[in-house]
Amino acid sequence: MKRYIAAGIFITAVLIGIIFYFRSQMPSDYGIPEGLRSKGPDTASVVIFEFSNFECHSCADSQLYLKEILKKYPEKIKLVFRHYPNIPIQHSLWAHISAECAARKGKFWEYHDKLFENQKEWSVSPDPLAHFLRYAKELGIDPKEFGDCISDERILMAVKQEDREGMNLGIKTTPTFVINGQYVVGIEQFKQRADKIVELELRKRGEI
Amino acid sequence: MSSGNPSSRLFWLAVRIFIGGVFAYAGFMKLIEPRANFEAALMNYPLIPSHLIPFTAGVIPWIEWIFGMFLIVGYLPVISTLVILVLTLGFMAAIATGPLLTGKAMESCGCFGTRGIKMDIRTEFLIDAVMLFFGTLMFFKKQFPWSVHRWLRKTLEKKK
Repeated sequence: MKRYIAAGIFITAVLIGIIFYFRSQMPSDYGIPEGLRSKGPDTASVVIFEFSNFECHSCADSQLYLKEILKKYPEKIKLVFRHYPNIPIQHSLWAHISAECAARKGKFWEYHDKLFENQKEWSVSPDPLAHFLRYAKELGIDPKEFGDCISDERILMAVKQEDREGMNLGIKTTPTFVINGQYVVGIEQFKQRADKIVELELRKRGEI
Repeated sequence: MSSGNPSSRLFWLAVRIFIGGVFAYAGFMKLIEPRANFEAALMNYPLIPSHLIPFTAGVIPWIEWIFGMFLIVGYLPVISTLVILVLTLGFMAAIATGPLLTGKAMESCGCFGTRGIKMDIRTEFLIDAVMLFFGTLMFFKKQFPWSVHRWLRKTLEKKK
């Protein structure tokens, strides 16, 4: 009987070990894009990575709650946006490419807000690029430069690469937020937990 | 704990590996990715009270992984089968009272994590029903050929 139990303990230990080994192999570098898609101080104690898809309704809805948190803890949070388009949906991919082009002109967050605020307009349009171009013009981006940028293959590849990286990090649905390494998936979890996690992280560091 | 001709033994071994494999794979894929993903998937099942979602998301994948693997190798086969049958019944109840009842069948059931097989809710329900049927037969017939359980018992009896 003792040997039977010992065998069970051995098998269980091996099974647990396998899981911890694979967990340790998971990438944990969320990658901060060079300045253009992040806001907040570099020294902030809390870093929120937002993996979003401009065409997803929950992502648009979550912006309200995200802004509330940023407003509640000014200068204490750094927000980093990561492209996570649903590749088969063409509108979404073009929206992310357009946003990346706006980012390269230093207008990412304004463009980001425009895309979410007008999501119902461009997402059902047969010609979303006309909308994307108009938003760029409204933000003072040169239309010619913007047009050249969105047809640049390198931008497409960069967005697709970021999408793959998100997948490798275990991102399943949008929006997913990673707050100091803790995953918050979907708008419901964000509403329930994000504020508590931020508060706890700031308390840990004696900042509130 | 097992009898019959070689083809019958092979059949029950295949059943055991299939059922154990599905559970072990489902548990493994969920365990190697963020728990919050599974918690988000569980929010689609109204049978699970919202305050129990974090606990359920933490415990279920470990049970799937460990008892699925136990069943494959044939360690504690009766208990492992029973645990898996109870889980299967629970999953079927969760599916039936949630996405199937409301007609809002999800694209993916969330059963195999992000990177695992994508399976819609109806297919998952069907597979659960098949596993429940064969698992119940295996449990009552006590058909566990070529198992670690048998090997350990034989070894221990010889030593006596």
